Amino acid sequence: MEKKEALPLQMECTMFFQSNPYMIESLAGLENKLGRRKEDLQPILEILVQQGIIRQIGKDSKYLYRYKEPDIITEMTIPDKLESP
Amino acid sequence: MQKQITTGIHGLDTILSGGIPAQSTVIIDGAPGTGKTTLGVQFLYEGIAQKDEAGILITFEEFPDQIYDDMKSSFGWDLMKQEKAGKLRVIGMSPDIFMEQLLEPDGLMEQMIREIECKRIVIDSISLFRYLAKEDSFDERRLLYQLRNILRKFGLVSLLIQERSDLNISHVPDSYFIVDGVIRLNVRAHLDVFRKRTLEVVKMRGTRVIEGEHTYKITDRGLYPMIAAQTVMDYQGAESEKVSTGIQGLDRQLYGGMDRGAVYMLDTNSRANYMPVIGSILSERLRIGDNVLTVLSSTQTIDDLNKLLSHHHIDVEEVVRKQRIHFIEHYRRSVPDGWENSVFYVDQLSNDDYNQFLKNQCYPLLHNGEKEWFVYYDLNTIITERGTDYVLSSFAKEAAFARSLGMTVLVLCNFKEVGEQVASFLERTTNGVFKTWVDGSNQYLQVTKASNGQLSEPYLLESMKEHPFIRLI
Repeated sequence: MEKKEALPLQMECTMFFQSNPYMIESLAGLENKLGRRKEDLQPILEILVQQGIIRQIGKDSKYLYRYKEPDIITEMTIPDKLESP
Repeated sequence: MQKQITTGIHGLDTILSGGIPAQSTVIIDGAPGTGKTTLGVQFLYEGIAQKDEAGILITFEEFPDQIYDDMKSSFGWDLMKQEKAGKLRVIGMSPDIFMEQLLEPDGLMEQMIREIECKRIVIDSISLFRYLAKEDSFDERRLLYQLRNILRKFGLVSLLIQERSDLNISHVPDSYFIVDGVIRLNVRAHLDVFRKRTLEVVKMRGTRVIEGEHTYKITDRGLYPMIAAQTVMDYQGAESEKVSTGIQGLDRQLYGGMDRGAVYMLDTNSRANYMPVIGSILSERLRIGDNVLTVLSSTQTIDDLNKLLSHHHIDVEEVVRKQRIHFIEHYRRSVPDGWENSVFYVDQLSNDDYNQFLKNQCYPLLHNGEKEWFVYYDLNTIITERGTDYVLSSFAKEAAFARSLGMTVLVLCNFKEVGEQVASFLERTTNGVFKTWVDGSNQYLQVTKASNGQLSEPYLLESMKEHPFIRLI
Protein backbone atom coordinates (compact mmCIF):
# COMPACT_ATOMS: atom_id res chain seq x y z
CA MET A 1 0.00 0.00 0.00
CA GLU A 2 1.24 3.44 -0.89
CA LYS A 3 2.06 5.78 1.98
CA LYS A 4 -0.61 8.29 0.89
CA GLU A 5 -3.20 5.49 0.85
CA ALA A 6 -2.20 4.46 4.33
CA LEU A 7 -3.14 7.75 5.90
CA PRO A 8 -6.95 7.41 5.61
CA LEU A 9 -6.74 3.88 7.01
CA GLN A 10 -4.57 5.14 9.84
CA MET A 11 -7.25 7.76 10.60
CA GLU A 12 -9.98 5.13 10.36
CA CYS A 13 -8.20 2.85 12.82
CA THR A 14 -7.47 5.70 15.20
CA MET A 15 -11.11 6.82 15.18
CA PHE A 16 -12.26 3.24 15.65
CA PHE A 17 -10.17 2.69 18.77
CA GLN A 18 -10.92 6.14 20.13
CA SER A 19 -14.70 5.63 19.80
CA ASN A 20 -14.45 2.16 21.27
CA PRO A 21 -11.84 2.53 24.00
CA TYR A 22 -12.48 -0.95 25.37
CA MET A 23 -12.44 -2.78 22.06
CA ILE A 24 -9.85 -5.53 22.34
CA GLU A 25 -9.24 -7.41 19.11
CA SER A 26 -6.80 -9.55 17.21
CA LEU A 27 -5.79 -8.81 13.64
CA ALA A 28 -8.36 -11.30 12.40
CA GLY A 29 -11.06 -9.72 14.57
CA LEU A 30 -10.20 -6.25 13.29
CA GLU A 31 -10.36 -7.52 9.73
CA ASN A 32 -13.99 -8.49 10.38
CA LYS A 33 -14.93 -5.44 12.35
CA LEU A 34 -13.31 -2.84 10.10
CA GLY A 35 -13.90 -4.66 6.84
CA ARG A 36 -10.26 -4.26 5.78
CA ARG A 37 -7.71 -6.83 4.71
CA LYS A 38 -5.19 -8.13 7.26
CA GLU A 39 -2.21 -7.29 5.10
CA ASP A 40 -3.35 -3.66 4.85
CA LEU A 41 -4.14 -3.42 8.54
CA GLN A 42 -0.98 -4.92 9.96
CA PRO A 43 1.47 -2.14 9.02
CA ILE A 44 -1.03 0.51 10.13
CA LEU A 45 -1.45 -1.13 13.52
CA GLU A 46 2.32 -1.23 13.92
CA ILE A 47 2.47 2.52 13.23
CA LEU A 48 -0.30 3.22 15.76
CA VAL A 49 1.52 1.12 18.36
CA GLN A 50 4.72 3.08 17.70
CA GLN A 51 2.81 6.35 18.01
CA GLY A 52 1.38 5.25 21.37
CA ILE A 53 -2.23 5.44 20.18
CA ILE A 54 -2.90 1.74 20.70
CA ARG A 55 -1.29 -1.02 22.72
CA GLN A 56 -0.22 -4.42 21.56
CA ILE A 57 -0.81 -7.16 24.10
CA GLY A 58 0.09 -10.81 24.03
CA LYS A 59 2.86 -12.98 22.71
CA ASP A 60 3.78 -15.57 20.13
CA SER A 61 2.32 -13.49 17.32
CA LYS A 62 -1.17 -13.86 18.86
CA TYR A 63 -1.31 -10.16 19.44
CA LEU A 64 -4.31 -8.22 20.62
CA TYR A 65 -4.78 -4.52 20.07
CA ARG A 66 -6.54 -2.03 22.28
CA TYR A 67 -6.75 1.71 22.70
CA LYS A 68 -4.23 3.45 24.90
CA GLU A 69 -5.70 6.32 26.84
CA PRO A 70 -3.52 9.44 26.44
CA ASP A 71 -1.52 10.16 29.58
CA ILE A 72 -3.00 13.63 29.91
CA ILE A 73 -6.64 14.11 29.14
CA THR A 74 -7.79 17.68 28.92
CA GLU A 75 -11.36 18.70 28.49
CA MET A 76 -11.27 22.32 27.41
CA THR A 77 -14.11 24.72 26.94
CA ILE A 78 -13.14 27.25 24.36
CA PRO A 79 -14.98 30.55 24.83
CA ASP A 80 -16.56 32.23 21.84
CA LYS A 81 -14.66 35.45 22.48
CA LEU A 82 -11.19 35.80 23.77
CA GLU A 83 -10.90 37.66 27.02
CA SER A 84 -9.00 40.94 26.75
CA PRO A 85 -5.84 41.06 28.85
CA MET B 1 -32.41 -17.89 51.38
CA GLN B 2 -29.33 -16.69 49.46
CA LYS B 3 -28.46 -13.01 49.27
CA GLN B 4 -30.29 -11.47 46.35
CA ILE B 5 -29.02 -8.85 43.95
CA THR B 6 -31.72 -6.43 42.86
CA THR B 7 -31.87 -5.96 39.13
CA GLY B 8 -33.14 -2.41 39.65
CA ILE B 9 -35.73 -3.07 36.95
CA HIS B 10 -39.22 -2.15 38.07
CA GLY B 11 -41.43 -5.21 38.18
CA LEU B 12 -38.64 -7.73 37.55
CA ASP B 13 -37.44 -7.62 41.16
CA THR B 14 -41.03 -8.25 42.29
CA ILE B 15 -41.31 -11.20 39.91
CA LEU B 16 -38.00 -12.53 41.35
CA SER B 17 -39.11 -11.95 44.98
CA GLY B 18 -36.34 -9.41 45.47
CA GLY B 19 -33.77 -10.07 42.79
CA ILE B 20 -31.34 -12.59 41.34
CA PRO B 21 -29.55 -14.78 43.91
CA ALA B 22 -25.89 -13.75 44.34
CA GLN B 23 -23.35 -15.32 41.98
CA SER B 24 -26.05 -16.68 39.71
CA THR B 25 -25.65 -17.05 35.99
CA VAL B 26 -28.88 -16.28 34.17
CA ILE B 27 -29.73 -16.64 30.50
CA ILE B 28 -31.82 -13.89 28.89
CA ASP B 29 -33.38 -15.68 25.98
CA GLY B 30 -35.35 -13.92 23.29
CA ALA B 31 -36.10 -13.39 19.64
CA PRO B 32 -34.83 -10.30 17.80
CA GLY B 33 -36.48 -7.07 18.90
CA THR B 34 -37.47 -8.24 22.36
CA GLY B 35 -35.03 -5.91 24.14
CA LYS B 36 -32.44 -8.40 25.41
CA THR B 37 -29.51 -6.00 25.12
CA THR B 38 -31.58 -3.20 26.67
CA LEU B 39 -32.42 -5.44 29.61
CA GLY B 40 -28.74 -6.29 30.02
CA VAL B 41 -27.57 -2.68 29.90
CA GLN B 42 -30.42 -1.61 32.20
CA PHE B 43 -29.29 -4.23 34.72
CA LEU B 44 -25.77 -2.77 34.66
CA TYR B 45 -26.84 0.87 34.61
CA GLU B 46 -29.34 0.52 37.46
CA GLY B 47 -26.76 -1.48 39.40
CA ILE B 48 -24.45 1.54 39.27
CA ALA B 49 -27.20 4.14 39.82
CA GLN B 50 -29.03 2.37 42.64
CA LYS B 51 -26.41 0.18 44.30
CA ASP B 52 -23.09 1.67 43.24
CA GLU B 53 -22.12 -1.75 41.84
CA ALA B 54 -19.72 -1.68 38.91
CA GLY B 55 -20.41 -3.75 35.82
CA ILE B 56 -18.98 -5.03 32.56
CA LEU B 57 -20.77 -5.46 29.26
CA ILE B 58 -19.12 -7.80 26.78
CA THR B 59 -20.32 -7.27 23.25
CA PHE B 60 -19.22 -9.70 20.58
CA GLU B 61 -20.89 -8.22 17.53
CA GLU B 62 -22.28 -4.79 18.22
CA PHE B 63 -19.65 -2.06 18.57
CA PRO B 64 -19.42 -0.32 21.95
CA ASP B 65 -19.91 3.11 20.32
CA GLN B 66 -23.20 1.91 18.81
CA ILE B 67 -24.33 0.86 22.28
CA TYR B 68 -23.25 4.20 23.81
CA ASP B 69 -25.27 6.08 21.20
CA ASP B 70 -28.37 3.84 21.29
CA MET B 71 -28.65 3.79 25.05
CA LYS B 72 -28.12 7.53 25.39
CA SER B 73 -30.62 8.49 22.71
CA SER B 74 -33.27 5.91 23.67
CA PHE B 75 -33.07 5.94 27.46
CA GLY B 76 -30.74 8.77 28.45
CA TRP B 77 -28.18 6.32 29.90
CA ASP B 78 -24.75 7.94 29.61
CA LEU B 79 -22.52 4.86 29.56
CA MET B 80 -19.34 6.75 28.66
CA LYS B 81 -19.76 8.89 31.75
CA GLN B 82 -19.96 5.73 33.86
CA GLU B 83 -16.86 4.38 32.14
CA LYS B 84 -14.96 7.55 32.98
CA ALA B 85 -16.15 7.22 36.58
CA GLY B 86 -14.62 3.73 36.62
CA LYS B 87 -18.01 2.05 37.14
CA LEU B 88 -18.50 0.45 33.77
CA ARG B 89 -16.64 -1.16 30.91
CA VAL B 90 -18.24 -1.81 27.54
CA ILE B 91 -15.80 -4.27 26.05
CA GLY B 92 -15.91 -5.23 22.42
CA MET B 93 -14.10 -8.46 21.60
CA SER B 94 -14.50 -11.74 19.77
CA PRO B 95 -15.80 -14.77 21.67
CA ASP B 96 -12.54 -16.70 21.26
CA ILE B 97 -10.46 -13.84 22.73
CA PHE B 98 -12.94 -13.47 25.56
CA MET B 99 -12.67 -17.14 26.53
CA GLU B 100 -8.87 -17.12 26.14
CA GLN B 101 -8.55 -14.07 28.37
CA LEU B 102 -10.93 -15.50 30.96
CA LEU B 103 -8.90 -18.68 31.17
CA GLU B 104 -5.56 -16.85 31.31
CA PRO B 105 -4.27 -16.37 34.88
CA ASP B 106 -4.34 -12.62 35.48
CA GLY B 107 -5.66 -12.18 31.95
CA LEU B 108 -7.34 -9.05 30.66
CA MET B 109 -10.74 -10.00 31.99
CA GLU B 110 -9.46 -10.74 35.45
CA GLN B 111 -7.58 -7.45 35.47
CA MET B 112 -10.64 -5.45 34.48
CA ILE B 113 -12.90 -7.20 36.97
CA ARG B 114 -10.40 -6.34 39.68
CA GLU B 115 -9.77 -2.83 38.43
CA ILE B 116 -13.36 -1.65 38.73
CA GLU B 117 -14.41 -4.11 41.45
CA CYS B 118 -16.95 -5.54 39.08
CA LYS B 119 -20.10 -7.13 40.56
CA ARG B 120 -22.25 -7.62 37.47
CA ILE B 121 -21.49 -8.80 33.97
CA VAL B 122 -23.57 -9.08 30.81
CA ILE B 123 -22.39 -11.13 27.85
CA ASP B 124 -24.02 -10.35 24.51
CA SER B 125 -24.40 -12.98 23.22
CA ILE B 126 -23.52 -16.57 24.07
CA SER B 127 -25.17 -17.75 20.85
CA LEU B 128 -21.84 -17.06 19.15
CA PHE B 129 -20.19 -19.77 21.24
CA ARG B 130 -21.55 -22.27 18.80
CA TYR B 131 -18.85 -21.11 16.33
CA LEU B 132 -16.22 -21.73 18.98
CA ALA B 133 -17.32 -25.26 19.67
CA LYS B 134 -14.86 -27.39 17.80
CA GLU B 135 -16.61 -30.69 17.53
CA ASP B 136 -20.26 -30.91 18.46
CA SER B 137 -22.99 -29.54 20.69
CA PHE B 138 -21.33 -31.25 23.66
CA ASP B 139 -18.33 -28.97 23.20
CA GLU B 140 -20.65 -25.95 23.20
CA ARG B 141 -22.17 -27.18 26.44
CA ARG B 142 -18.72 -27.66 27.94
CA LEU B 143 -17.76 -24.10 27.00
CA LEU B 144 -20.85 -22.70 28.68
CA TYR B 145 -20.25 -24.81 31.76
CA GLN B 146 -16.70 -23.52 31.92
CA LEU B 147 -17.88 -19.94 31.51
CA ARG B 148 -20.49 -20.32 34.28
CA ASN B 149 -17.87 -21.68 36.67
CA ILE B 150 -15.39 -18.88 35.96
CA LEU B 151 -18.03 -16.16 36.42
CA ARG B 152 -19.11 -17.76 39.68
CA LYS B 153 -15.49 -17.91 40.82
CA PHE B 154 -15.27 -14.14 40.38
CA GLY B 155 -18.48 -13.77 42.46
CA LEU B 156 -20.37 -12.09 39.64
CA VAL B 157 -24.07 -11.99 38.88
CA SER B 158 -24.09 -12.71 35.17
CA LEU B 159 -26.64 -12.25 32.45
CA LEU B 160 -25.90 -14.28 29.34
CA ILE B 161 -27.88 -13.09 26.38
CA GLN B 162 -29.05 -15.84 24.05
CA GLU B 163 -30.64 -15.25 20.69
CA ARG B 164 -33.59 -17.41 19.87
CA SER B 165 -34.17 -18.29 16.28
CA ASP B 166 -36.16 -21.42 17.06
CA LEU B 167 -39.59 -20.07 17.91
CA ASN B 168 -40.81 -23.50 18.92
CA ILE B 169 -40.94 -22.92 22.68
CA SER B 170 -41.40 -26.60 23.41
CA HIS B 171 -37.75 -27.07 22.45
CA VAL B 172 -35.54 -26.71 25.51
CA PRO B 173 -31.97 -25.66 24.68
CA ASP B 174 -29.11 -27.49 26.45
CA SER B 175 -27.92 -24.19 27.91
CA TYR B 176 -31.02 -24.00 30.13
CA PHE B 177 -29.77 -26.96 32.17
CA ILE B 178 -26.36 -25.48 32.91
CA VAL B 179 -27.29 -22.04 34.20
CA ASP B 180 -29.01 -21.00 37.44
CA GLY B 181 -31.81 -19.10 35.81
CA VAL B 182 -33.58 -18.44 32.53
CA ILE B 183 -35.63 -15.37 31.69
CA ARG B 184 -37.44 -15.62 28.40
CA LEU B 185 -38.59 -12.62 26.40
CA ASN B 186 -41.31 -13.11 23.82
CA VAL B 187 -43.05 -10.98 21.27
CA ARG B 188 -46.31 -11.91 19.61
CA ALA B 189 -49.17 -10.42 17.66
CA HIS B 190 -51.68 -8.46 19.71
CA LEU B 191 -55.00 -7.02 18.48
CA ASP B 192 -54.06 -7.66 14.85
CA VAL B 193 -51.77 -4.68 14.33
CA PHE B 194 -49.87 -4.49 17.61
CA ARG B 195 -47.14 -6.54 19.17
CA LYS B 196 -47.22 -7.69 22.75
CA ARG B 197 -44.00 -8.37 24.60
CA THR B 198 -43.92 -10.79 27.49
CA LEU B 199 -41.28 -11.78 30.05
CA GLU B 200 -41.30 -15.12 31.81
CA VAL B 201 -38.92 -16.45 34.43
CA VAL B 202 -38.69 -20.04 33.27
CA LYS B 203 -36.15 -21.06 35.89
CA MET B 204 -34.44 -19.39 38.85
CA ARG B 205 -32.58 -21.36 41.48
CA GLY B 206 -32.64 -20.03 45.02
CA THR B 207 -35.66 -17.72 44.90
CA ARG B 208 -39.40 -17.91 44.48
CA VAL B 209 -40.75 -16.34 41.35
CA ILE B 210 -44.15 -15.10 40.25
CA GLU B 211 -45.04 -17.50 37.50
CA GLY B 212 -46.62 -16.57 34.22
CA GLU B 213 -45.95 -14.40 31.20
CA HIS B 214 -45.63 -10.82 32.36
CA THR B 215 -46.35 -8.19 29.76
CA TYR B 216 -43.68 -5.52 29.43
CA LYS B 217 -43.24 -2.30 27.54
CA ILE B 218 -40.04 -0.72 26.37
CA THR B 219 -40.42 2.80 27.74
CA ASP B 220 -38.06 5.77 27.82
CA ARG B 221 -36.70 4.29 31.07
CA GLY B 222 -35.99 0.85 29.65
CA LEU B 223 -37.97 -2.36 30.07
CA TYR B 224 -41.04 -1.99 32.25
CA PRO B 225 -42.62 -5.33 33.16
CA MET B 226 -46.12 -5.45 34.62
CA ILE B 227 -46.93 -8.33 36.93
CA ALA B 228 -49.12 -10.90 35.18
CA ALA B 229 -52.70 -11.30 36.38
CA GLN B 230 -52.90 -7.77 37.68
CA THR B 231 -55.72 -5.47 36.74
CA VAL B 232 -56.26 -1.93 37.92
CA MET B 233 -56.88 -1.68 41.66
CA ASP B 234 -60.26 -0.41 42.89
CA TYR B 235 -59.84 2.85 44.72
CA GLN B 236 -61.55 1.19 47.70
CA GLY B 237 -59.56 -2.02 47.50
CA ALA B 238 -56.61 -1.07 49.63
CA GLU B 239 -58.43 0.68 52.44
CA SER B 240 -61.64 -1.27 53.07
CA GLU B 241 -62.11 -3.44 56.14
CA LYS B 242 -61.28 -7.06 55.43
CA VAL B 243 -63.44 -10.09 56.12
CA SER B 244 -61.29 -13.17 56.53
CA THR B 245 -62.23 -16.24 54.51
CA GLY B 246 -60.54 -18.49 57.07
CA ILE B 247 -58.33 -19.84 54.28
CA GLN B 248 -54.87 -18.40 54.74
CA GLY B 249 -53.73 -18.54 51.13
CA LEU B 250 -56.93 -16.97 49.86
CA ASP B 251 -56.75 -14.17 52.44
CA ARG B 252 -53.17 -13.46 51.44
CA GLN B 253 -54.19 -13.25 47.80
CA LEU B 254 -56.96 -10.79 48.75
CA TYR B 255 -54.62 -8.67 50.93
CA GLY B 256 -56.33 -9.82 54.14
CA GLY B 257 -59.69 -11.12 53.00
CA MET B 258 -62.90 -10.13 51.27
CA ASP B 259 -63.83 -6.43 51.45
CA ARG B 260 -66.58 -5.79 53.97
CA GLY B 261 -69.70 -4.56 52.24
CA ALA B 262 -68.75 -6.15 48.91
CA VAL B 263 -70.45 -8.81 46.80
CA TYR B 264 -68.47 -11.92 45.81
CA MET B 265 -69.30 -14.78 43.52
CA LEU B 266 -68.00 -18.33 43.81
CA ASP B 267 -68.15 -19.87 40.37
CA THR B 268 -68.08 -23.61 40.57
CA ASN B 269 -68.51 -26.50 38.19
CA SER B 270 -70.55 -29.54 39.07
CA ARG B 271 -67.57 -31.75 39.87
CA ALA B 272 -65.89 -29.32 42.24
CA ASN B 273 -66.48 -29.68 45.95
CA TYR B 274 -67.03 -26.11 47.02
CA MET B 275 -68.43 -26.93 50.48
CA PRO B 276 -65.09 -26.64 52.33
CA VAL B 277 -64.72 -23.11 50.94
CA ILE B 278 -68.27 -22.17 52.01
CA GLY B 279 -67.83 -23.92 55.36
CA SER B 280 -64.64 -22.04 56.08
CA ILE B 281 -66.03 -18.63 55.14
CA LEU B 282 -69.35 -19.01 57.05
CA SER B 283 -67.76 -20.49 60.16
CA GLU B 284 -65.13 -17.75 60.20
CA ARG B 285 -67.89 -15.11 60.08
CA LEU B 286 -69.85 -16.71 62.92
CA ARG B 287 -66.71 -17.17 64.98
CA ILE B 288 -65.80 -13.48 64.60
CA GLY B 289 -69.32 -12.50 65.69
CA ASP B 290 -71.07 -11.63 62.42
CA ASN B 291 -74.64 -12.75 61.79
CA VAL B 292 -75.43 -14.92 58.78
CA LEU B 293 -78.39 -14.98 56.44
CA THR B 294 -78.43 -17.86 53.99
CA VAL B 295 -80.75 -19.03 51.24
CA LEU B 296 -80.91 -22.81 51.33
CA SER B 297 -80.47 -24.53 48.01
CA SER B 298 -82.21 -27.53 46.50
CA THR B 299 -79.17 -29.67 47.25
CA GLN B 300 -78.45 -28.28 50.68
CA THR B 301 -80.81 -28.79 53.58
CA ILE B 302 -80.67 -27.05 56.91
CA ASP B 303 -79.31 -30.28 58.30
CA ASP B 304 -76.47 -30.32 55.78
CA LEU B 305 -75.53 -26.78 56.73
CA ASN B 306 -75.72 -27.69 60.41
CA LYS B 307 -73.32 -30.58 59.84
CA LEU B 308 -70.99 -28.44 57.77
CA LEU B 309 -70.75 -25.68 60.36
CA SER B 310 -70.43 -28.15 63.24
CA HIS B 311 -67.57 -29.77 61.33
CA HIS B 312 -65.94 -26.33 61.36
CA HIS B 313 -66.34 -26.21 65.16
CA ILE B 314 -69.39 -23.92 65.27
CA ASP B 315 -72.01 -24.56 67.93
CA VAL B 316 -74.94 -24.12 65.56
CA GLU B 317 -77.61 -24.71 68.26
CA GLU B 318 -76.17 -21.79 70.19
CA VAL B 319 -76.00 -19.58 67.11
CA VAL B 320 -79.63 -20.37 66.24
CA ARG B 321 -80.73 -19.76 69.82
CA LYS B 322 -79.12 -16.31 69.75
CA GLN B 323 -80.85 -15.59 66.42
CA ARG B 324 -77.48 -15.03 64.75
CA ILE B 325 -78.33 -17.17 61.75
CA HIS B 326 -81.42 -17.12 59.51
CA PHE B 327 -82.41 -19.35 56.66
CA ILE B 328 -84.56 -18.65 53.62
CA GLU B 329 -86.18 -21.87 52.48
CA HIS B 330 -87.67 -22.39 49.01
CA TYR B 331 -88.60 -26.00 49.79
CA ARG B 332 -90.78 -26.94 52.72
CA ARG B 333 -88.35 -29.32 54.40
CA SER B 334 -88.25 -30.30 58.04
CA VAL B 335 -86.10 -28.34 60.46
CA PRO B 336 -84.78 -29.35 63.88
CA ASP B 337 -86.99 -28.54 66.84
CA GLY B 338 -86.56 -25.02 68.15
CA TRP B 339 -85.14 -23.74 64.84
CA GLU B 340 -88.52 -22.68 63.39
CA ASN B 341 -88.06 -19.00 64.25
CA SER B 342 -84.88 -18.89 62.24
CA VAL B 343 -86.43 -20.10 59.00
CA PHE B 344 -88.38 -18.02 56.47
CA TYR B 345 -90.46 -20.20 54.17
CA VAL B 346 -90.80 -18.59 50.76
CA ASP B 347 -91.97 -21.63 48.77
CA GLN B 348 -95.48 -20.25 48.42
CA LEU B 349 -94.39 -16.77 47.40
CA SER B 350 -94.62 -15.41 43.88
CA ASN B 351 -91.72 -13.33 42.65
CA ASP B 352 -93.50 -10.11 43.62
CA ASP B 353 -94.34 -11.49 47.05
CA TYR B 354 -90.77 -12.69 47.43
CA ASN B 355 -89.60 -9.16 46.69
CA GLN B 356 -92.01 -7.81 49.28
CA PHE B 357 -90.76 -10.40 51.76
CA LEU B 358 -87.18 -9.27 51.22
CA LYS B 359 -88.17 -5.63 51.67
CA ASN B 360 -90.51 -6.00 54.61
CA GLN B 361 -89.06 -8.88 56.58
CA CYS B 362 -85.48 -9.50 55.60
CA TYR B 363 -84.09 -6.01 55.21
CA PRO B 364 -85.52 -4.73 58.53
CA LEU B 365 -83.92 -7.73 60.20
CA LEU B 366 -80.58 -6.84 58.65
CA HIS B 367 -81.00 -3.22 59.69
CA ASN B 368 -81.60 -4.27 63.24
CA GLY B 369 -78.88 -4.42 65.84
CA GLU B 370 -75.22 -3.61 65.73
CA LYS B 371 -73.97 -6.87 64.30
CA GLU B 372 -72.49 -7.13 60.83
CA TRP B 373 -74.32 -9.41 58.41
CA PHE B 374 -72.93 -11.91 56.02
CA VAL B 375 -75.24 -13.21 53.31
CA TYR B 376 -74.68 -16.45 51.45
CA TYR B 377 -76.86 -17.99 48.80
CA ASP B 378 -76.90 -20.29 45.83
CA LEU B 379 -77.94 -18.25 42.83
CA ASN B 380 -78.72 -21.35 40.81
CA THR B 381 -81.56 -22.09 43.25
CA ILE B 382 -82.98 -18.59 42.73
CA ILE B 383 -82.70 -19.08 38.97
CA THR B 384 -84.45 -22.45 39.17
CA GLU B 385 -87.19 -21.21 41.46
CA ARG B 386 -87.69 -17.66 40.23
CA GLY B 387 -86.32 -17.67 36.70
CA THR B 388 -83.41 -16.00 34.96
CA ASP B 389 -85.40 -12.83 34.27
CA TYR B 390 -86.02 -12.39 37.97
CA VAL B 391 -82.31 -12.70 38.69
CA LEU B 392 -81.38 -10.32 35.91
CA SER B 393 -83.84 -7.70 37.13
CA SER B 394 -83.30 -8.09 40.87
CA PHE B 395 -79.68 -9.12 41.39
CA ALA B 396 -78.16 -5.71 40.73
CA LYS B 397 -80.72 -4.08 43.05
CA GLU B 398 -80.11 -6.62 45.81
CA ALA B 399 -76.36 -6.27 45.45
CA ALA B 400 -76.61 -2.47 45.66
CA PHE B 401 -78.83 -2.73 48.71
CA ALA B 402 -76.45 -5.13 50.42
CA ARG B 403 -73.55 -2.77 49.76
CA SER B 404 -75.50 0.19 51.15
CA LEU B 405 -76.07 -1.74 54.38
CA GLY B 406 -72.44 -2.77 54.56
CA MET B 407 -73.34 -6.45 54.21
CA THR B 408 -70.82 -8.81 52.73
CA VAL B 409 -72.40 -11.20 50.25
CA LEU B 410 -71.15 -14.49 48.84
CA VAL B 411 -73.12 -15.92 45.96
CA LEU B 412 -72.63 -19.42 44.66
CA CYS B 413 -73.17 -19.86 40.96
CA ASN B 414 -72.25 -22.16 38.12
CA PHE B 415 -71.39 -19.75 35.32
CA LYS B 416 -71.50 -22.53 32.74
CA GLU B 417 -75.01 -23.47 33.74
CA VAL B 418 -76.41 -19.94 33.63
CA GLY B 419 -74.94 -19.17 30.22
CA GLU B 420 -72.35 -16.73 29.02
CA GLN B 421 -74.55 -13.62 28.96
CA VAL B 422 -75.93 -14.04 32.47
CA ALA B 423 -72.48 -14.97 33.78
CA SER B 424 -70.96 -11.85 32.28
CA PHE B 425 -73.72 -9.72 33.84
CA LEU B 426 -73.18 -11.33 37.25
CA GLU B 427 -69.43 -10.95 37.01
CA ARG B 428 -69.84 -7.27 36.24
CA THR B 429 -72.20 -6.72 39.16
CA THR B 430 -69.96 -8.34 41.76
CA ASN B 431 -66.82 -6.93 43.35
CA GLY B 432 -64.92 -10.18 43.28
CA VAL B 433 -65.04 -13.63 41.73
CA PHE B 434 -63.49 -16.87 42.97
CA LYS B 435 -63.56 -19.84 40.72
CA THR B 436 -63.16 -23.47 41.67
CA TRP B 437 -63.12 -26.37 39.27
CA VAL B 438 -61.90 -29.89 38.79
CA ASP B 439 -59.44 -30.62 36.04
CA GLY B 440 -58.36 -34.21 35.71
CA SER B 441 -57.87 -35.46 39.21
CA ASN B 442 -57.20 -32.11 40.89
CA GLN B 443 -59.37 -29.30 42.15
CA TYR B 444 -58.27 -25.73 41.60
CA LEU B 445 -59.21 -22.34 43.02
CA GLN B 446 -58.47 -19.03 41.37
CA VAL B 447 -59.35 -15.41 42.11
CA THR B 448 -60.44 -14.07 38.75
CA LYS B 449 -61.67 -10.68 39.94
CA ALA B 450 -60.71 -8.73 43.05
CA SER B 451 -60.76 -5.14 44.22
CA ASN B 452 -56.98 -5.15 44.71
CA GLY B 453 -56.58 -5.90 41.03
CA GLN B 454 -54.62 -9.08 41.79
CA LEU B 455 -55.84 -12.04 39.81
CA SER B 456 -54.32 -15.16 41.19
CA GLU B 457 -52.70 -18.05 39.47
CA PRO B 458 -54.82 -21.21 39.63
CA TYR B 459 -54.01 -22.74 43.03
CA LEU B 460 -54.35 -26.43 43.71
CA LEU B 461 -56.71 -27.20 46.59
CA GLU B 462 -55.42 -29.73 49.06
CA SER B 463 -57.50 -31.36 51.79
CA MET B 464 -56.38 -31.06 55.39
CA LYS B 465 -57.44 -32.89 58.51
CA GLU B 466 -58.03 -29.73 60.55
CA HIS B 467 -60.13 -26.60 60.05
CA PRO B 468 -60.38 -25.05 57.45
CA PHE B 469 -59.86 -28.52 55.90
CA ILE B 470 -58.40 -27.09 52.71
CA ARG B 471 -55.38 -25.11 51.74
CA LEU B 472 -54.09 -23.48 48.61
CA ILE B 473 -50.95 -24.90 47.05
